[in-house]
Amino acid sequence: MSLLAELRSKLAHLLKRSSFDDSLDQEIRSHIEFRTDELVAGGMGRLEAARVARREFGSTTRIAEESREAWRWNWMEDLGRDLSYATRALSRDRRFAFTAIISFALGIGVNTTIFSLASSFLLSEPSVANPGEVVHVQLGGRGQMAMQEFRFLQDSRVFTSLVGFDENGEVNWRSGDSTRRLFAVRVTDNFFADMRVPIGTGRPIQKGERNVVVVSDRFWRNQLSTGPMGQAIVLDGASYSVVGVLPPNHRTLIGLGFAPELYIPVSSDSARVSLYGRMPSGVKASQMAQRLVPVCAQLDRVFPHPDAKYAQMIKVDPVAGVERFLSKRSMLLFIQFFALLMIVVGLLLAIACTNVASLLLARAAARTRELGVRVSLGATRGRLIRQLLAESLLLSLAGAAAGLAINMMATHALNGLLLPMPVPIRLALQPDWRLLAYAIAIAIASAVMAGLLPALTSTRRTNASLKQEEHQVGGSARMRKGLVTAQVAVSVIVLVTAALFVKNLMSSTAMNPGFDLQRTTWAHMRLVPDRYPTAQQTFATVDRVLERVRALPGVEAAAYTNVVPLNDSSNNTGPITSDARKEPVVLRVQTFLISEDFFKTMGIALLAGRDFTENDRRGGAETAIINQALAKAMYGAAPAVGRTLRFGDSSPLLVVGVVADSKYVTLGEEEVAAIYEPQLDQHGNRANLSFLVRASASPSALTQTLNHELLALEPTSAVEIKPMNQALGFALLPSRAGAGLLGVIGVLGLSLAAIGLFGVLSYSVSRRAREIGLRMALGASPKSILRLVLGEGATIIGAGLAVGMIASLFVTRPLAMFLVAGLNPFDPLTYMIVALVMIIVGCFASIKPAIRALRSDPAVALRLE
Amino acid sequence: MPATLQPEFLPGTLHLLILRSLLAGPLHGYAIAKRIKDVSKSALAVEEGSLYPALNRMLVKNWLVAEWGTSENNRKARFYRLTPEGAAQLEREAAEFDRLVSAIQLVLREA
Repeated sequence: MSLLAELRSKLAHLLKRSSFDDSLDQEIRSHIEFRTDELVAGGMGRLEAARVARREFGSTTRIAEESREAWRWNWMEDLGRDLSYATRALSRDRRFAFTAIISFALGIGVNTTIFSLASSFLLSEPSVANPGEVVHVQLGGRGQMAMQEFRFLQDSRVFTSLVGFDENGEVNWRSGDSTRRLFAVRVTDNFFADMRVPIGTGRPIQKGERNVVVVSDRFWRNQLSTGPMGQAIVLDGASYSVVGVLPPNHRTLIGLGFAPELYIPVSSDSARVSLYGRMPSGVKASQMAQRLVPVCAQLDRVFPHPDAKYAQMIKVDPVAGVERFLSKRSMLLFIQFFALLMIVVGLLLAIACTNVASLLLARAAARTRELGVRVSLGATRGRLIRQLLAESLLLSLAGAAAGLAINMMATHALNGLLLPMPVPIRLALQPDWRLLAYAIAIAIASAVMAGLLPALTSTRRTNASLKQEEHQVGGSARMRKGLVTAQVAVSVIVLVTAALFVKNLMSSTAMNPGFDLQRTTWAHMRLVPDRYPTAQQTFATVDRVLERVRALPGVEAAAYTNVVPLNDSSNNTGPITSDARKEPVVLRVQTFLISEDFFKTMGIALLAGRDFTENDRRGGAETAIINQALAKAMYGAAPAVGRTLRFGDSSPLLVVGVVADSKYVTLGEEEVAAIYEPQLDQHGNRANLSFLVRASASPSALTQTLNHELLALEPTSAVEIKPMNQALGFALLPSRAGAGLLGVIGVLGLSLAAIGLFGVLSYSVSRRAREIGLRMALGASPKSILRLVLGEGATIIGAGLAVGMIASLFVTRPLAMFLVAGLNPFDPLTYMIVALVMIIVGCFASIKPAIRALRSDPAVALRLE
Repeated sequence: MPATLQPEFLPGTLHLLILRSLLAGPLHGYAIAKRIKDVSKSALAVEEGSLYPALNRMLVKNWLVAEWGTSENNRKARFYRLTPEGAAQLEREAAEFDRLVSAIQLVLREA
């Protein structure tokens, strides 16, 4: 209590320090005047009295200094002294310091790296001024709005400023002889000015500009070799002038690492854009939604839509901060994943701390004499504990510095990765004040975790007589064993988690997607939209491509599809009615628009009925092929072929075939309903075309030929060809990321635990050298000595395993949601493997100490006496 | 002049004396020293060199608070006032001192 009051008055004092000095001076002056008055009253002359009073008072500076002293932060100065003493103490014991710092560095390095990842995903803000004011606006359940609607809303002035942003803007970039598809964001011309997006070099896109482009720093460096501003590049057949380069740390409004190569102005009035608005300051997102209601009602009158009203579904979501995640449920999974990672790396840090703690205990045992001397010289126990904690603080701070170096290397490597996603995603992990604050906080926490227990026990010992030290060491050895047991237990938890993720990766890799991966190739072709204004023209090209490809030698079948399973998806949730049943079925159905031969190319079995023919694609009868799951949901066991079904009010489709289920969105899904319809011109125009090609032998030989043929048919298109078995990266990403991260963490945890075990056993053998020597001298067999040493290791491992396994059963329970279906978080095989690994590591850690025990020479050991 | 004792002769007594002399009401530094000297019939002299550092230490501990005011002869002075914590501390220290003194007397008488 009194300490707190003291702290409070010292803090208050800090704020008015300069006035304190003044008042101290004045107080001294008035003291002297009082004395003078008194002397004058006693009959002395005033001048003489003043002189005497001043002399009596003595040195004013010394008194002022000593008064000031009272307000000083003594503990801070003590800390400084403790730290410098600790530096000297540690520099005498370099090997110990090095081992401890490495342990801390690994723990803190991994911890801060995961922290960097999490804070970059969860807390990073888009590169706009005052991101807290910016919201994503969705009206009438639609993500994007037409340009005229955008202008209407802009003119309504509900927002301080409103910009249009189309993140799906792709362009074909012609460079030399090759054409590449680039990911671009199309923005309205007020975007840079109103959002105040910082530019690295050059200038932003300005009002009224059309054929200008702002490029990403990466694109500018790697593709344009840092060329001059104003240079022309050809995008979708038109010439654009590069006016500006974004800074390297640019983050889009979408966040989540989305890293488009270009920003270009919205090209035409037919474009559709997502809306981002800047709210007037002080207004909340929910208030904004209210203000939008009358405007949207007006919008509905001016631009009536048959199927939806804008005023009915108004969503206003913040783009920055944690609110962004709370507003979207799918984002919660991110939070849970990072929470899981943070727990696991927290456990890893705990292992590292226990390692250092047992090192400190061993060191304290060796320093009993030194501590004892300090006690007899008058140091209090609190003083010694502070001293010892200063040592662990010094170690943990050095560890944090080294850990931050590990963090820099790891984040640099992670930043270089291009994640296998359909859109470019780049991690832009950067050290910031949050990282530094976090590193310092966990360094202090680790210092206490690792240092407190050893400091308490070793100073307790010094209170007892110095001569008893031999007997007291036993207690510390027991504590070290306890620590290593805890370490083994925590490692078991980390290992079980890691093993589950690795198993998850293996079973997702082995999981059958339901279609053939080995002989199928995916050819993606992006047409320049201006050259293909109508669907007829586009699909005429599709026909020509199919005809040409099917004629190639080595091609067994080829097909067109609008959606490539496990890479992108399109679905429809709706009431589905059928002629076979009265009540509609509400079901989420994956939808595909395909050409004939799709199932043959993908190796998906046709179970009943027939495949589409070219005639279906010409728009004869309206037909559909459904998968088994949908057939079961709609018709039960009855045959589906020949029945009709319809989505909502759309026209009925005749079911002509039933195909086997396959995987559509994730590898873990089961029995997802899907419907395939022939691609018709009426379905609308598109620039991105996907062709699937089945090779009669290995598909690798086809890659070159396909590229060549497709480019020959349409030289302005951008063509990308990849074998299907390489195209699953996206679907496997969660499993791979989980297995990769947790695998590394698991191995680190295991090695830290092994080091701890090794340390404890070697220490125990060296401490019992005399006992072992004596036993051998008395005729103990090597076998019994071995049993003695290994038994000790086995006890530790056994106890640690038991505790760790039981704890794992609880800890891994929430893991289930990250694992593929059918993988049990309590998988007995995983637990057995972890136990086996732990036992093997335990044996290795025991071998050297055991051999040393066997080699100990009874004569030498006895001479130690 | 009679021989005077420094209060620091017994550790902690300076605090005790200051607290006690403030019990009747706020005083400025000079008045505290004078009060101690007068009441002890000049047997105890508080040196300025120890008075002001001690006052500041007691401010830090929140036993006292200080305010500027005017003295009876119209001079600006810094007055020190006892806080409830200070009063409690006075009680503790006075009891402790009594115990110490009677223990010493016991030894002087009996040993």
